[in-house]
Amino acid sequence: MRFKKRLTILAALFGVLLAAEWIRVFHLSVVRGSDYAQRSEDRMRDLRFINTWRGPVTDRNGETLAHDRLSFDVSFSIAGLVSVDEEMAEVCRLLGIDEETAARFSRVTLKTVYGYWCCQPPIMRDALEDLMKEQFDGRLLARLDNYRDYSFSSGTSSYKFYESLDEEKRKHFRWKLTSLLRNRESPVLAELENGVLDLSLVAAEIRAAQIARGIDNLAGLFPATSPADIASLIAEKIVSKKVLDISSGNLFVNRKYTPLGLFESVPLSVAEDIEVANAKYHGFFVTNSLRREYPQGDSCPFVGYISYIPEEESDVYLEDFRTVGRFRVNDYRFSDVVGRFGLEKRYEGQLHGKRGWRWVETDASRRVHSVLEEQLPTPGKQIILCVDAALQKKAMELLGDSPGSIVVLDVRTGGILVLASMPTYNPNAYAPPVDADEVGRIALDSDNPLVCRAVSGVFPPGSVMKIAVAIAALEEGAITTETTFFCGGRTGRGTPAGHIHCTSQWGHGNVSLLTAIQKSCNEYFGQAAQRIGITKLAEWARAFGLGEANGFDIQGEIEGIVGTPEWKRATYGTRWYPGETEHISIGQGFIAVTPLQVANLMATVANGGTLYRPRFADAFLSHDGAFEEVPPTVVRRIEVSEATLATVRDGMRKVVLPGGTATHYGLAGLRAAGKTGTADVVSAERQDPEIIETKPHAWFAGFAPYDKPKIAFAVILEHGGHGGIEAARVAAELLETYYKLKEEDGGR
Amino acid sequence: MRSRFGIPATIDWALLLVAGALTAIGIAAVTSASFDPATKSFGDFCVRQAFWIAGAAVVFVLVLIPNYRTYMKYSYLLFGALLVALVAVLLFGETRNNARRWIDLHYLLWQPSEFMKIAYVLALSKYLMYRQNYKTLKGLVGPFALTFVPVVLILRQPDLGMAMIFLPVLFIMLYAAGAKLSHLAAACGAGLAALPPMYIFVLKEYQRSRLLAFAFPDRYAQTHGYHLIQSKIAIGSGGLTGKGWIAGTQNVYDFLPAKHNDFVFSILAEEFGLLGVTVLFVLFFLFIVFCLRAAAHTKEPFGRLVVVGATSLFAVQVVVNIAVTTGLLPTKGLTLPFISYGGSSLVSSFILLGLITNVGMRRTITFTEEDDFD
Repeated sequence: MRFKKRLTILAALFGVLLAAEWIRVFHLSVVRGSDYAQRSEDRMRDLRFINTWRGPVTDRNGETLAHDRLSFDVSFSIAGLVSVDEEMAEVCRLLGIDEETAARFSRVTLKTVYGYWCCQPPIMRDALEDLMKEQFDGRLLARLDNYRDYSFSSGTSSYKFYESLDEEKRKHFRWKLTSLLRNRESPVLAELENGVLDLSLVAAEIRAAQIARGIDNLAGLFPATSPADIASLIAEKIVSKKVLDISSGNLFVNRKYTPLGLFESVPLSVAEDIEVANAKYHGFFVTNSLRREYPQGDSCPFVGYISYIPEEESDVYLEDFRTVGRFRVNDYRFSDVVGRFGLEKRYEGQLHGKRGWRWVETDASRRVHSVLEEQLPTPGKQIILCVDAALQKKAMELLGDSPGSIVVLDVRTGGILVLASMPTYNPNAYAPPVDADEVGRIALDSDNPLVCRAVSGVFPPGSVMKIAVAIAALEEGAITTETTFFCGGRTGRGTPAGHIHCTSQWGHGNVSLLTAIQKSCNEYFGQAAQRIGITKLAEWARAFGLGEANGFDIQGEIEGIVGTPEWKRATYGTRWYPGETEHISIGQGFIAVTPLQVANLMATVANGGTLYRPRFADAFLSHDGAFEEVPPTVVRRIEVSEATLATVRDGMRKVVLPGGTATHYGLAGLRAAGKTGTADVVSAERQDPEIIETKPHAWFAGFAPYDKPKIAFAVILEHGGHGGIEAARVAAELLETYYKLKEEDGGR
Repeated sequence: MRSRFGIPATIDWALLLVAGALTAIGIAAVTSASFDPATKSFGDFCVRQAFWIAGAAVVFVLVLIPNYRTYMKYSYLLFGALLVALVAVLLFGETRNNARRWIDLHYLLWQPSEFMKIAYVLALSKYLMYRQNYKTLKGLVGPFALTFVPVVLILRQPDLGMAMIFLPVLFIMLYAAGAKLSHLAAACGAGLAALPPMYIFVLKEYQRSRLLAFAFPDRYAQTHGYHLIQSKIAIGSGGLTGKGWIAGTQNVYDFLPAKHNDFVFSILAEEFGLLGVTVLFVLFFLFIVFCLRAAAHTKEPFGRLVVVGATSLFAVQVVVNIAVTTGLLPTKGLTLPFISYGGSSLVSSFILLGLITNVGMRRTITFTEEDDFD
């Protein structure tokens, strides 16, 4: 029957169709099965980082110089959200934001959230192109144009675009994008850093991040002033791109459970209120983040600061990695902050903890369902410094607003108690969120506050140099304690720079060594230096660390100069005049030293001839309680007789006693011994008429207590005037504070 | 001829057994789809599905009671009533996911288009009973008119998937009834010529983008292509033997969208692998063969056309649904009969099954005089 035949044909037709589909399934599941199995696994396995804190920096008494402060941030997620407007209004009320702004925020949030989730490729592509225009140069933009049609719609094709870049561009690209997402716990970030990226997602996240944060990066592009204005401007932009038009879109990119940071660093009381309100308003909640803080502000500039990894150094930080799943795990991420200056930079290795991670299984909403593998983080070590923060603060106060520096060393270890330098800067400006105005001001300041003058500034030591000359003369046998020279007020030999006048216009008459130190007689040391000879004198100066970098623990240490005939010939190509030796003997001419070197010279005299390497770090304390002391480092033990040093110390004590150059301010009562210095800058002025300041540098350097030395110090006030007056006054006040603090603490 | 228990001996138990097996597989798949890994509990999909099956079974028995010839009398009336319902949907319907397909009956959402399929098969069968209506080219105007009115209304909702199954059913029924192949070929040609204007004027923007997503899945990975890619990953990663019941990660972790209805096949493939899917294919093929066997054994033209029509509704929907989930056809919202979650779909499937069984068990007792059998 024909009807039956037709039915048979129909059955066969459906049989063939079903068989074809079976073959299709066979192809997918058997032929390409392992490929899809891998993709299925990739989809649900994710790497979650566990952040840890950076080690704190404290002084010898436990006073904090740098630490990670817990910051309370208000975040938002759509899961459990009932009414954006109502909840936003409540949160804004708690935050003290006025109604109008709150309404605007509400709009922005809504848009952000939808922009975040709808993530429609064509729109996000446009958004990303906008971003490119804002962030990249034209060349890269031109390359994007080639892919205009479908670059940003999918992981595969954006990866193609990414692949088309050369290694350098690629790095730049990742770095730029990452820099826009910094400091956010962005799930995209991990992928981005590993080159597995979906640009449409990144674009959405960047939008969200920018709007939510008030947008450092875009702030400069808009004439608007407040973050709220900027946010609403961007909201307009997004609305104009119809991100909100969800009628034709599906919310496939489900980020329901991913918190979106909205307000950073809210006060604890507000955070508590919001947590309480969370019982009713589930959309908003408090999350935590860590922020580097420097409680001492601008009084401890040597601590330095942290900031983001600069692009050009990223290789160094990202070199080592291990592989977890399809991810690379480094100790560092692009988005990390690292020590960029001062102690933060020097001890980066100790301070930076080790980030932990979890290799997890998640669902499509990126909620974690199980942990496959996990590595807990190791927090950074605490650094305990030799510094006494209270004394440091006092030193900074004493310097006031005028340039200068104060160094205080522990004579028995080389530990730095004080390293004050003016002008200074506040490291808090550099810690994210960066205070761009302040950073810009610091960078443009012609006084260069970032330069630590105590180690990077070189000055003629003036009469402080006479201590080194005295030791050299005694040790070389050029003089004995009994030797006297006649001082008539002016030396016989001149130099091209002019004749030397003594501190006393009418001369000191016949002077012995102790009197010469006490009264700072130029004539005496000029003649003694002639007897020693420049070569031997320079050797002795160098032995005590003058004109020498000792491997100090912050950057910027400068060697300085101790002139010799060889040095002069090499530098200027001219011969050495005998008068120049005399200039050096009084700390003028071809000699330039740092305040730290002067302080260390004093420490060496005080401790009997051991030159220590000055250092900040005293010990490291791990989170597990392991304590690791940093032993003092001896640069050299100087072959010098105790009798010589005792004589010099005696002379330095006489300086503060009646008849000396620093008899005021009760330095004698403060058991100090020291040497004044008034370093002329007139010759410099002659060479360079631009230098207007002609007042001499005021020095006072020494140690205390004179009979049982514990600390050595050096004070220099640039163009401060007379060493025996201005610098000695500062030193006296400093010592007073030192004893007072010691008493309070029962023996520091 | 009746058995001892008053049940017609000609009831095709094998067919019902296959349908039962498919329904059971559906319960398993929907149960798996409703599992929430966060709370380790099952959603209420599977419970509701069980209730719908019970209800559908009752409807199935009710459909068996009257002689199917009674339905013939009312088939044009029913068709007209459902056309009114489709217009009502466009005017007062409920909108879900940008489509207006449902009428809110307070206690449930009713999707008239699911029942339009049935009325369409009944009305078309009544029309094609008569030879002059399918043997002449002029006679073919009627069937096409009968098809395009509901199709246009359903496209307006819009529901491309549902609208698209009417045309193959029409051709299959015309062919089965004995229409001239040359006429069918001419109609096919006209249909193909109508496609480009259809694409431009009739299809909505989102339907066009789905077609484009099908053509270029990677380009639309985050939106329309996303369905397809997730579905292919689910099927592919299932491998030969599958990941096990409620252990499919694409399913449980929600990567697979619309998994309990349109993409239920992907769940089965992921969790039971190629072997499990082979069983499903065999069951569906047996189902089609058993249905067509009922038609073959029926002399009466209305009855056998109803069976062919109902069978082709099933078969086309199965073929299209699987083709969509495996990436052979663009995505459109079509359920997998007996397996997918959904009240309207289940009830209409059981009504169709009831019609087939009704014809099958009364095939020996009904004859008409006016028919010209071939």
